[in-house]
Amino acid sequence: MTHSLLHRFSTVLLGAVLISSSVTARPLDEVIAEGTLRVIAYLDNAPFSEEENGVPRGIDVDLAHAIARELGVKAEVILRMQGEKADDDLRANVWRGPLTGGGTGDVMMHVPIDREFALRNREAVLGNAYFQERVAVAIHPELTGTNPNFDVFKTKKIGVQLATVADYFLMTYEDGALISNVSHHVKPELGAREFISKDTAALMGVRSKIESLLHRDGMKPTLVEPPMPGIVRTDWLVGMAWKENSRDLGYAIEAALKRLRETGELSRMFEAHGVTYVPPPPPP
Amino acid sequence: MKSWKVLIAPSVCAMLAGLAAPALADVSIEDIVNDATTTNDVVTSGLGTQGQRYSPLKTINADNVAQLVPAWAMSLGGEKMRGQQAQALVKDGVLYVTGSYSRMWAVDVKTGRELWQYDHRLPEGILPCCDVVNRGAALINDKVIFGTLDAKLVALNQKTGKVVWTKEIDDYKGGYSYTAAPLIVPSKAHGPIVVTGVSGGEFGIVGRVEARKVDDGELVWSRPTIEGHVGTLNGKPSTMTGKQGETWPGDLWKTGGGATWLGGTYDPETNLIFVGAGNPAPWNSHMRPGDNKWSCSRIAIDPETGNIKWGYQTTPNDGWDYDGVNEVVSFDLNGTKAVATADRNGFFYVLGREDGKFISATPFVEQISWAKEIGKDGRPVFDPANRPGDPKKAADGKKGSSIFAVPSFLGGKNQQPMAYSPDTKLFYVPANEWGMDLHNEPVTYKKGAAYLGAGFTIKPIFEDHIGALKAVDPATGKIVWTYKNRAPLWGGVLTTGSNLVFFGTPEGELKALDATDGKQLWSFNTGSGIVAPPITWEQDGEQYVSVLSGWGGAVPLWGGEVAKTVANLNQGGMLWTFKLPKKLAEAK
Repeated sequence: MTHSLLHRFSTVLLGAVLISSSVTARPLDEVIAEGTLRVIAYLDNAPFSEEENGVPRGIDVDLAHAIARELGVKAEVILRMQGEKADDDLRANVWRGPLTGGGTGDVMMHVPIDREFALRNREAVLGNAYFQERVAVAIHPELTGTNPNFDVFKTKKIGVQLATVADYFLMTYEDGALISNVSHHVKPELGAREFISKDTAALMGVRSKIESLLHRDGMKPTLVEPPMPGIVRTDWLVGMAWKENSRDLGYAIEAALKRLRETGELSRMFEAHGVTYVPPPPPP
Repeated sequence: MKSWKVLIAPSVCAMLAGLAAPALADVSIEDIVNDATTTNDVVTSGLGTQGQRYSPLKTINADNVAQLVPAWAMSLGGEKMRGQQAQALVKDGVLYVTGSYSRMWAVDVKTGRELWQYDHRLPEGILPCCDVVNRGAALINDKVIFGTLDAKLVALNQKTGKVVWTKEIDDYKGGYSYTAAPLIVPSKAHGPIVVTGVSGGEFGIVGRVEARKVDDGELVWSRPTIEGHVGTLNGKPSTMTGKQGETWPGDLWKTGGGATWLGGTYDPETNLIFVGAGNPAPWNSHMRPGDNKWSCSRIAIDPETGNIKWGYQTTPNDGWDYDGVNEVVSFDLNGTKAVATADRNGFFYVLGREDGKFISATPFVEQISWAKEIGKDGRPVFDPANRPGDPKKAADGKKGSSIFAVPSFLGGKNQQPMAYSPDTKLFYVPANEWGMDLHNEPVTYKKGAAYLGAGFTIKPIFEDHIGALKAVDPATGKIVWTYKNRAPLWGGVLTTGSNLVFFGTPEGELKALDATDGKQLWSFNTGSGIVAPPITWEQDGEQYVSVLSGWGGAVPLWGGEVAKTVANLNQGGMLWTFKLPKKLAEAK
């Protein structure tokens, strides 16, 4: 089925059902007709989205506004807290809405593009990857050396967020050889503080968060990606999700995203927050 | 959070002309401590702070229970249905009950007419993990106190339903909520205190128990559940829980979990508060070799100081999500002051009440596979073959080898409270027979970032039932009788002085069984699923039974084969009240 056919088909099918509800994910026609794209991003997810004096800000927020502009509409950005798992967030933000009200969005930002994850959440369409997240290590080279491997942390401390893939890698490295030097945090801000004050010699986690948190303190860290034998993920794509019946909206956003990438606007959004833009690799 | 729901102000209504308003006396701390023996009221969750859920009433008995009839029913109304898990309270002819979405009602028990309703203003878009339930309120003095989905503790005036004070348990934006019934406990130093735990919160947040003054909600003490963390008393640091990092590798004690989301019970004889602590963080047990105290444990706390008197861990180094929060019930074991608890992990534990000393642990569900037994030292004899594996050994992105563990992580028993009869000397445990396929799912995602996950698929063990109400003899561990139910049991149990056992089923039936042999004597279809504990009391010489009907809670949120047993259950929201008319009670 071509895009335009699909577009017409879904409009006919869904128009009658959805026209009365302003808080349900909608196909492109309705978004255009109303002039507003409803975008849901995370409440506490700097540098991508957070609330500052009651106003949403961050890379995902900037991107939402730029996409809306490309579509000729305004973005209404809603920040919402995260559930236990991203699966819960798709349910709340894309296809069902939270039990406590507030409704779904037309599109949700910051969704991992992962086949298994997509397969168990078929009510949502995942796609439009806009960057690649990578696991990296920020180091104080004077403490770790300029090109360390993980053996260094048998004697030096390294910070990591609890229960992340980086955490599991560190805790199980050489059957627990690093355990006594792993400093855990729940909030990424705490990990950044410990690193800046040199309580830890290194900070392991996702590149974008490390860069932006340290950027806020005027620090441009040395980032390395040493071999991580046995880690279950070193990188993944971050994209968006929309409702299964709003596929045409997804295609329109895809086109908008392509323009933003080509003009360099997308990478500038990242750089404004001190984050190196890593584009998704081209499909094989 | 852009907008807020329309606030429905607490309203006094139905104070109709000609209807005398009940005369309300304050609920004293003595009323609370003596609740188990007074039959004309129910002023505590658990029909007594020990949590036995036993009423000495004998008016309704095996011979006449079949003549029990509805006295009235009241709809919880609105568009808000979903799970109704609260136990009601009754004092001076007024029934207080909480409902889904942090709502509360006061109802005239003679007529079923609403006296007032309080709708807590909830922020939009909050995401409580396991439905929008509430498990009940606490009465003290002229107040009725309950917790909300946005993690507030709210004290209302019993007469008017107007807010007297509100305290934040924690920040809902960090994922906190509160759904358990608060516990009122006497103290010499602080007067009556209201005791709560915490629920939710970001993964790795340390659980704690808190006591507040009932007059203004001011914090008296706080007790963290994970070793190495220091509590507070009167605003100053008090004592440390355990020894820092003694049973945790590295610094994992800092982020150890142990949430206290189901509240607690209180024993006036030993003056101890008993609270259960949830599972440890992170999920995968291979990351935190050691016992990981006091996760998956019961702890006994001194109400004056918040200090821990004893702790007992049911699942050391938990790898199955066997949350240790289930209620601790005080009882007399042939002259020994004992407590019993039916754990998620499928074992029924009897411990010394004063010191937490291990007395016995026996299976109350069938085919337990995670442990071979609980040894004489009170520690499980693990079956290493049934511990979820090391995700590192699974290929990237693929499901690793799968194990089948019994019980499932929803437990041999979940939040639904059991009952104990000092007459039959049996516990009545609302159990579930189910296991889970556990496979390594190396990656799950939170806020768009990769985390370690585990895949659970719950499966029934038997073809014809999951739910199984079991009569357990705490002296021998023997299962005296079992009553099977197709769907999982998710409501609590009540037992009476006339050897009756009352409980509800997700299919909607409120049932009365003979406490000695488990034979069904009466059943009534309430129209939606029952996931709440029933109560009984006496009003003007007649015995009443009351229960909430309203299907929801965690079970419908989990799929798989279990979902089939509850697939066609309809939501509801109805408070049903039954009585035995005087004429029928006197007939025999």
